[in-house]
Amino acid sequence: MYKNIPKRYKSTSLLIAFFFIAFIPFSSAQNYSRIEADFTLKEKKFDGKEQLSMGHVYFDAQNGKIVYDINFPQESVMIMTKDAIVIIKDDSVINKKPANHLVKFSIFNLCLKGSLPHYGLKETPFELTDVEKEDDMVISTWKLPEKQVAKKSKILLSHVEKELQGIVTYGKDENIVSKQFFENYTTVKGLDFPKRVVHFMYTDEDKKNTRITTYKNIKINHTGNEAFYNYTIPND
Amino acid sequence: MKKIILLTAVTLFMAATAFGGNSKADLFSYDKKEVQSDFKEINKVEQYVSAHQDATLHDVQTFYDVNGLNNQSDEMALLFDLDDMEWGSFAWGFCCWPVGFFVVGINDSKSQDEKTSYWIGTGTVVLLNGITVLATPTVYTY
Repeated sequence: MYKNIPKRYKSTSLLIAFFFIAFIPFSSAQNYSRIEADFTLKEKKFDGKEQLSMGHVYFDAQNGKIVYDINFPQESVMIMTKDAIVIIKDDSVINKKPANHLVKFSIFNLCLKGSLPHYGLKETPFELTDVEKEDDMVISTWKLPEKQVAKKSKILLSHVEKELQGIVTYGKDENIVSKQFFENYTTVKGLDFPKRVVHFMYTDEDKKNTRITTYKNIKINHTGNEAFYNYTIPND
Repeated sequence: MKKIILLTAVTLFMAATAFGGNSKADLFSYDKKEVQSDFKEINKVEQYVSAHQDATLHDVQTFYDVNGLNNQSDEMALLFDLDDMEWGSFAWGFCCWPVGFFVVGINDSKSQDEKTSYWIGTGTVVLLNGITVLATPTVYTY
């Protein structure tokens, strides 16, 4: 059937096919590296005290720092790195605390990497042990191998139309230690991001800490504000 | 015999449905009204700060400190504006504050806005009385 096609057309077709095969993966998967948004964090603590923080947050996946430019209650900058939280005021470090995995499991990193639907659990020792469907909700159960159970024993994720809706975390005594709800998803440049996160944390004394974080004016891969995206932490 | 087995099966199914109803999906819900109520005060602070972009901690110091809101009534006093005024409660304070004290002032079923309105009413009448007394010339008769 193809015997009559001239040889030069055959080689041209092969070349076009090669380019299609080579570049299709790059054209279909957009590379997300930056996210920024206005944020409001409201918290009602275990002891009944309330806290409000407002400002703008920047995250650049390349340098792995989350920078909170806080304008209320006090002008300050809070930076989360892979191993610490640093608070800066008037260009001086006023507090530095060690903290692990905050950036890796932050909503910003998970969203940019496309790991939010499974909350990054695929890259942890947690194993998917069960999946159930109740009405339009799909609930998956993730467990740690018994030897590794330390503070958390089990995590349940709920999805509605493939979007992560909730997380329930169990302690080692099978008690619920935390619940998170991801609400009001918006799509920016093809990336789904929840505009509201409600987080409950529970103590053994049945006390509850509630934190509501809302995001507005979400920008993806935005250029500008380089000073914040590449924030240099001053020396202690 | 078949009827007994069928009846037992139906009864067991109904019991399981009625008493074993804590599905996993129930874990993924929360009382939104309770959260709304818990955050009622702080939402007002948020609105205030959003409306006053240059608001500093000093501006809201009377009701807010770095660690949180410790004094709800102070907060309300600062955030209270004319739109929040409950004129009925204001009238209790203005026209008959002794009765209003029991009807509104120490009545737990009244909202913070109503109580603040009552105290504004009471304050207004005390202030007006004070001014009236001071402005009235005193006539001494011997």
